[in-house]
Amino acid sequence: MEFNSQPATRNPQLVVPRNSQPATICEAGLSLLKETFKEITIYDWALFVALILLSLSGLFLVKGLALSGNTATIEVNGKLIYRLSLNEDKTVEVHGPVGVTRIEVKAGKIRITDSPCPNKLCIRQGWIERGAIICLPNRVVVTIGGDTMGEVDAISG
Amino acid sequence: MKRLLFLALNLALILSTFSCNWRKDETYRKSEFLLDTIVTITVVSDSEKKAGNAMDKAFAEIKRIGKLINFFSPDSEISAINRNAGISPVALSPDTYTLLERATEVSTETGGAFDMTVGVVVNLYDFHKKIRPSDALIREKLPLVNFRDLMLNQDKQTAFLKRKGMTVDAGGIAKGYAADRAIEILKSEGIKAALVAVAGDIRAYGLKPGGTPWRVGIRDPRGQSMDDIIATLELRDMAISTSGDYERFFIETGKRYHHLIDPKTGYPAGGVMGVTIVGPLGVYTDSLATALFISGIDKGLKIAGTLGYDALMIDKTGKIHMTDTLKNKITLKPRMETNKNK
Repeated sequence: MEFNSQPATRNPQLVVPRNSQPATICEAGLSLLKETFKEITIYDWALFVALILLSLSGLFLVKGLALSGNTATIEVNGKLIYRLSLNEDKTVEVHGPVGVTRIEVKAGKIRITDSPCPNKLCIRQGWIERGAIICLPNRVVVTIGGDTMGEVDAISG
Repeated sequence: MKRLLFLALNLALILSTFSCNWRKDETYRKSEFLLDTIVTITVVSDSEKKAGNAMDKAFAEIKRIGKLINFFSPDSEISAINRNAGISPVALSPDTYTLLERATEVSTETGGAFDMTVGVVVNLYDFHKKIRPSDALIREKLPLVNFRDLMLNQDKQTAFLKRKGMTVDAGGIAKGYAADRAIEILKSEGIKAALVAVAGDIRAYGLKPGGTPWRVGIRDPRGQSMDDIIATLELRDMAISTSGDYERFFIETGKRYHHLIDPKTGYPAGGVMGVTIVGPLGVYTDSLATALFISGIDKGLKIAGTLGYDALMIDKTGKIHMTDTLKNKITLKPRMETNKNK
């Protein structure tokens, strides 16, 4: 039987090439632009600037959806159970696979006050104003704001 | 001709600006409990339906990988290898084989600091009940730890553990691999930017709406909560993984016993609190984070340098050590003195 437990050669994917800057499509486009701009008149420039201004005005005509940081969602096992306003003080309970998790909203903040999990990490996290509290054993995720995590998009650790 | 091209460029500019405004890019986020942890996928898309479909497919892929490599499920391919230890080789699906091959590469490259067969010793510790095994028991089981005794046959796509009693566990590499696979799925679904976080193993590509890059925090190993971070960095088409002595541990007579067991000694590796690795593929950052933790500061930084990865290592006194390649990419945060040395 032919076994090759040890890789004979180093997998090239394991080694990160140094200073590997892939040539981009932008570079190709830039050289084409340079060529184009060589033979144009002042009128062309006027037209060009006018069109750019027109284009940019389009950006301000469309209003983006404001992200709301003043709501919290409570999910159990990936299912949305509650969407709460942080402006209204209240306490809710959700049922997870281990038992009942109690969640409190007060003065724009949210916390887990009671949990059936063994290590109580979710309770120890205390009040949050942004980001999320995750209780792994009871499958509960409390998230603030629909779209914003605050300073970072994720935490490695 | 040149003039025509110039006008065409202008026209394209106008059209692109207005077409962008018909459908605005939004960020969509969804979490599921998979691989015994929480997986969060964030995507940027101009359509909620498209985003939802792509995320569902990515979650399904992670679920599929989980079934293949679940150490605790008798139906997994990993369990089949363990059941047949010392008996016969087991035919594997491409994913499981690839995963074991990648793990073996990292084990070889790090002199066995990362070893998927270390489970027989790790499982002697009960971190929940705060029980550690006797020295005699560790000595008895340690000979069953050796990645070189996991025989892979590339032609037949089989794996075979040479001796009875040996086990292989993909737990230290599967999360990074799952993040890689999820990213591949999202790319193939036409998603222009995404971040996949399989617990602390994260991979991201593209830019957020507004053109800003994804930003990831590194957890403070002695922080008050999981939200306490010591540094942030931008993640541009890269993966990041962290291994720390705070994930599963207990403290006995002032000594911390954690789950990152040195495969050569059978005892928790000393000298390091946390290691973070940045590189192109999650499958490698995941396993290298563990390998560098076991290797210690000097050896660890050397391995990262040789392979071209960015690494941040925090020693037992709380001091931060970094590869030169990381220094201008990272923003360190002021830390509470109390978190530094506990």
